[in-house]
Amino acid sequence: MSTALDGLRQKIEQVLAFDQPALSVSVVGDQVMVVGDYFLNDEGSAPAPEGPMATFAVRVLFDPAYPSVEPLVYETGGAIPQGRHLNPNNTCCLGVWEQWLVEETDHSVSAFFAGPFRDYFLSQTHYRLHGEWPFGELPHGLDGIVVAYASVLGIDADKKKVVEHLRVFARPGWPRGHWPCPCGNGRRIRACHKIELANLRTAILPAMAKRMLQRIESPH
Amino acid sequence: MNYHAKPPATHDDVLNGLAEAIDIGQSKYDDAVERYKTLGRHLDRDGSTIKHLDPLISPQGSFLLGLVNRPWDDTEVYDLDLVCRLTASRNSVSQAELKRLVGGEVLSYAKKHGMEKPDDHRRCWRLNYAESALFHMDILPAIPDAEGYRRRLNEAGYGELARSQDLTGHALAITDKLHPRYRDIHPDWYQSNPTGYAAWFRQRMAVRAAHTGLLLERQLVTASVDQVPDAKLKTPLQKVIQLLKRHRDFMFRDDLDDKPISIIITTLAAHSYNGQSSISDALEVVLRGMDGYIQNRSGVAWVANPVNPAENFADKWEETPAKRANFYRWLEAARRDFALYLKGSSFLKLPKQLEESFGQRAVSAALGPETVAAPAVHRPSQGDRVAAAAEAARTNRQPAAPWQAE
Repeated sequence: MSTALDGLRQKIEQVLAFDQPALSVSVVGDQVMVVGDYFLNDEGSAPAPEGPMATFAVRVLFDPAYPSVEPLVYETGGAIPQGRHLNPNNTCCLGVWEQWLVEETDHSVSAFFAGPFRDYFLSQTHYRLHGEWPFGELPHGLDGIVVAYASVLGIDADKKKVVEHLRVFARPGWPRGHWPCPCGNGRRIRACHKIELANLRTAILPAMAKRMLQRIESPH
Repeated sequence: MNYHAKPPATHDDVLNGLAEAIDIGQSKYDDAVERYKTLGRHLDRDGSTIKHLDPLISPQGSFLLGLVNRPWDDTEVYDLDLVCRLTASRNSVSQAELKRLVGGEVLSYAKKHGMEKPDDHRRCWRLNYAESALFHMDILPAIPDAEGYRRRLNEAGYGELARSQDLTGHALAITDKLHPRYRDIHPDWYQSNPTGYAAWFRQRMAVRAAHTGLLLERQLVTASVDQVPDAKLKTPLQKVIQLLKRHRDFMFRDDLDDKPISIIITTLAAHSYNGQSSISDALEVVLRGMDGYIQNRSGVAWVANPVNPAENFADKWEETPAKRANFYRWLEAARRDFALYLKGSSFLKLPKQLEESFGQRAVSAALGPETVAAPAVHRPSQGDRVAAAAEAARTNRQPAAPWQAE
């Protein structure tokens, strides 16, 4: 077993210890698998008298390259019907991964389970009980990716503009002031969105921008 | 406190009820105290052959720490560990002679009460009470030896500990048949410090005053270190350790030799506990953290005696690796079983593993009779809880919106 894989397994075990006693962690092939019942609890340590808000049977596969590679999450108990944010390959669609990578600074396993993983099952439970998605929902397919990336960039959900912004960040070196501003108004960056772009560049490094560009052009 | 006065309404209520149900209980406890006091009066009576040595009987171990559980299957006996302190000098009496002197009086006590002849164990005399009483009383002959104890602590580099009157001022020299100078009049004896350990334990079990009554803290922490704790007043740490010991006892009911020993569980739990006032918080903190207090000393797993860090409570782990493996196996099972209750169950539904560990009698006592309807308690509906959780998530951060590939 590779050291990286075993290290990831131990990390996941530590995160889930006590909080999720019905999930077991093991190395399967070249991935770390988490399988069992996930208890959706209130935040905080005091146990709610009624027990968990909901329980989901899950299987999660972590690639050793986590967090660069998004974990695959399956709901195996049949509690989530098709059409409610399940991908065609039956994985749960927690969100657009790059949005989480860019908007959050903590990408630890702990942050994943407390963040997008919990948000997804909380959303599902909320929808089942109240008929609405508490954190909104992204449109399916490419449109959803555009909306998510536009949100990251702080611009309108226009694919062309999103692509132009990402191309600026994908180019090596600092976006030069004389480059045309990707907002499309014809001005140069130094006379337009200089400050906004400078702030974004610290979060969207060239490798991430290239990754986002690749995905928006080939969303599957 | 009687937790059965009203139906339980929380996990804490049930855990408190379980802890109370497995505790030795007041009447048995009073019975035990009366028995050892009677023994003490016999040893110190006029005509006793050791009266001139001022014998003084006091409890040690789980009895002194307030951690005595009922036998898990109601067929075993209570072990009541006692120290018989005698005013004598290591320079004037051998260990063998002191053991013989105490043994003579214990024998006369047994005869007087129609009991079997006491067993001569490695360190102590064992008095077997009649079957109906379900008691063993282990009496350890000892003489005060704070000076020698402190000298050894200083030699081992624990000078600060040696200067503590509470922690080292009541140390003892004890008899042990396996000591190489057992039959000689010689100053070298093995040592023990049950009173010092109890003083340390009392310090550790203090509940953070901000959370509960100062009263409880005062009563428990400032009580004389020799005083047997009040069975009715239990701190969260004591209850947690009693729950863990019961879980251990059930898990190792067929492997008594290599089960994790109480002193290791007690010491690690006491280190890990951090003043939590609720039993569920205390249980979680203890179970999450207790193995973090096992030291690694040059590759040797070391559970240090807090009042003599040169002593390793886990010293048997090296020669019997099964003991070490069993400790970790037990800890993993305890974490899983209690977490399944606290994180994955309603307060009224104990997971099967815990039901088996505690037995039907204790579980029924903790949950209350099924026919008693719980009082109307306003509880949020599942829908309200989920809505509140979603609101909390939105307040604290930017939750992820789900997507879906086409």
